[in-house]
Amino acid sequence: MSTQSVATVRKVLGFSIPWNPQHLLKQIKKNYWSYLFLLPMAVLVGLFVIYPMVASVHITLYDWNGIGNPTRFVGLRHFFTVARDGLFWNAVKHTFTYALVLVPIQLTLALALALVLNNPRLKGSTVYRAVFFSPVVTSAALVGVVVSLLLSSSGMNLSMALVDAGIISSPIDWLGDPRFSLAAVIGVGIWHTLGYNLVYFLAALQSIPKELYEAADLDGANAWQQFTKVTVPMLREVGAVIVFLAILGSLQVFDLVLVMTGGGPYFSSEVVSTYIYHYAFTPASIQVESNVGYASAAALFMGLLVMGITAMQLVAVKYAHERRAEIK
Amino acid sequence: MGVSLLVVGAILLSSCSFLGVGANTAGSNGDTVAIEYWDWWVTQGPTIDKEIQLFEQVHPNIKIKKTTQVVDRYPELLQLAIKGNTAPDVFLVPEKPTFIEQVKQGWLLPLNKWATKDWQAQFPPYAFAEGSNVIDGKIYTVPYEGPGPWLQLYINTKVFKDAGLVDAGGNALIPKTWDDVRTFAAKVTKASGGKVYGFGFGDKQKTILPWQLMMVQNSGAPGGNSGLDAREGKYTWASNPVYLDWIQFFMGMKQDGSIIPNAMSMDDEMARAAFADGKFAMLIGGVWNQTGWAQTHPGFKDYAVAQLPYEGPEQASYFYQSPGGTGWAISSQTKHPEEAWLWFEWLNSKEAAVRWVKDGQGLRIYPEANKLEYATTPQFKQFMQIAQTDIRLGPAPNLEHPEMNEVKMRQTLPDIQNILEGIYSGQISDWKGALQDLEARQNAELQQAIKETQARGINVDPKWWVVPDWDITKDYKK
Repeated sequence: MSTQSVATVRKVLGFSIPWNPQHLLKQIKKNYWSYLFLLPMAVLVGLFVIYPMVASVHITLYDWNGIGNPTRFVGLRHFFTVARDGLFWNAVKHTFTYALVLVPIQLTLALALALVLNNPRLKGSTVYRAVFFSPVVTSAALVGVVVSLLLSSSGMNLSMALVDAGIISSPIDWLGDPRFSLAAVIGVGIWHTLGYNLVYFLAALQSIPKELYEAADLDGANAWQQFTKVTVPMLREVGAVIVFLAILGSLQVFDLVLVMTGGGPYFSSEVVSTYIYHYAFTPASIQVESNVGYASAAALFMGLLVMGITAMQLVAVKYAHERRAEIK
Repeated sequence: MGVSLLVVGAILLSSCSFLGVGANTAGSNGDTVAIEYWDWWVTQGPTIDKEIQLFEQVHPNIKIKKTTQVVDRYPELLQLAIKGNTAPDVFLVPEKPTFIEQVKQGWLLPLNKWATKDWQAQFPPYAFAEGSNVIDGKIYTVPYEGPGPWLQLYINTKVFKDAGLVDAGGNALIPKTWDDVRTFAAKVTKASGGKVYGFGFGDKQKTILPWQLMMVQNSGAPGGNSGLDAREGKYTWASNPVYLDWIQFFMGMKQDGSIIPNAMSMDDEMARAAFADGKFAMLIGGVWNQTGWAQTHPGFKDYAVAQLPYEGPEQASYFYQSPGGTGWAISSQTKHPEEAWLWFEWLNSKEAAVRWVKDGQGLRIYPEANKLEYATTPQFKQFMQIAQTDIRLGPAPNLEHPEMNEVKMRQTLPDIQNILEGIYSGQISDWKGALQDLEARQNAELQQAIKETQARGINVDPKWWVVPDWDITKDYKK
């Protein structure tokens, strides 16, 4: 990649510091302890994240059942098949539905709870923080199993109660009903990772200088005005990062879907990760081949799709910044 | 500094042995050997544990370390272990990849050194078959299971009696046909005021709806829930009307309100527990249900076993058995082949087979182990009696033409499990269209797989899939 094209990409992505390799080397030498401490994690990420991603590109060109070495070369056929597969686009739709419903609801709840927990008059805020964060440290698969059991047994009791009360005409199998399966997964997803975003918002709120609130108070601002005129603007930068991380995280949903619904019934809650899983690991009882090559192609296809959307979003944000600057 | 390093080194080494690193080697006295053993059996677990105990009494220098893996992921777990050179010494042979593929990949140890003619002679003549468990004269495994239908209909007789479904002698009625099942199911649901259902299943794991479809097996669809009819050498989901008939019957039961409402969200084990708790009256499952209930519901004895109902008025086909089959195998990576063979031989012995049958775990390959008097419960006796009548010998063209095993079909979705889900959940309204689409796709995939195999230089003939002279009501004789 030429220096000019690197500069163009950096400009598009919003890097304001000029590209200077010698400056970078100087920084590394000056702060070598920081880089040294980062090195083990970088090695692990490289070995267990980057390397598999790069290695799987080769696999996408083969029909391969995961046994031995890939030998049946098919070229780009898998990518064309993925692009034409209605079930794949159905999974993409559900994945984005999951993210677009979960993120606003969860972040709103997380911010609201963070505001409450940030109140110095609240007693026992540490206990509440631990309570809200505890689902985060619970395995998603375990959460899925427990919730499935609850919905299948107690959920059925609730359903029968609704029938007896005349609210519905027939019982609802919450996880086995296509109208509710994805919604149930989204609901559990909101609860499961709420604690992450709560803690991020709490940290961000605590970094807002108290003097700003004092000044707003002196100016006669009420609670809502302080929230909209002080809190929200001060949270904007951190909030953008939180939103970005929440979206990225929710696009990767897998355990909850697999354990709670398996992507069913009939693909009504299938997301891209379970779509990939179903092709990579066919059921043991069915005599058809797994196709790790096809599954890898679907994963790469989705990865490129998400990268494309992310790049478009970055360009759009950059453009919006520039327009605002021009207006000012 | 030197002493510190020595101390650290000693701590690390002793930690390694604590963590099991370097396990499966001779112990400190050089005699004790640990044999790693894998299966996927849960309800059969206590019987295997007893065999381990008995074996270790006879062979005190050999310790069997059993691991029970999740059945759904067993093939992948085994494959990973083999790739990581940590394969168990003795394991149940998975259904995937194919046995021939496992041999090609070098997973299995040939047993001819120990499997002498005398040892082989104790098995019935149909136990060993070239292409099934023997490749080029090398024996790799032997079937443990005896011939019998792998699914039966279980009836909660107390629920039936409470609903008045009894004969003149006060015994619970046994449904023979689909109409019987639907009628009895409706009666149970109505008699209980909707508190108890007539039929149930648990499809959370997305493999159980095809078990319900297996009611076509005795109804003129010899391919059962595979859809592949060897008489035509192709998939017949739509061209054999039995499949659509079954869907209409099953959805009729659903519309009657006879099927437990949370069937799609509970798994098979929950369904078995619900059945034993009297929440519904009829369940399709295998003989493993019986030992399962003995463990989870020891007091539950009010159930009967019947063969799968047929469309009627007469049974039109059966379950089919072919020569050969797989069971346990010894890993080619084993460091203790002699000890592994001893455990393998023990598991496959007649004595162990008799104990297996007496424990109600199922039938074994030795006919002499499957005596009715060995049944310790009336229900297991019922299963044994069904096995005597509901099985026929079927054709096995892949034994005659082992090249057929080189034909590898890719998955094409939606498959029958997906389609049944879609129909049951109301998302598919054109049932016949869905079956036609599945038939067309799978037949196209089969032809494509055959063409690709031929392109790889392997001589396969599409005609080998067709057995036109097969009378599905009789034992197949070539």
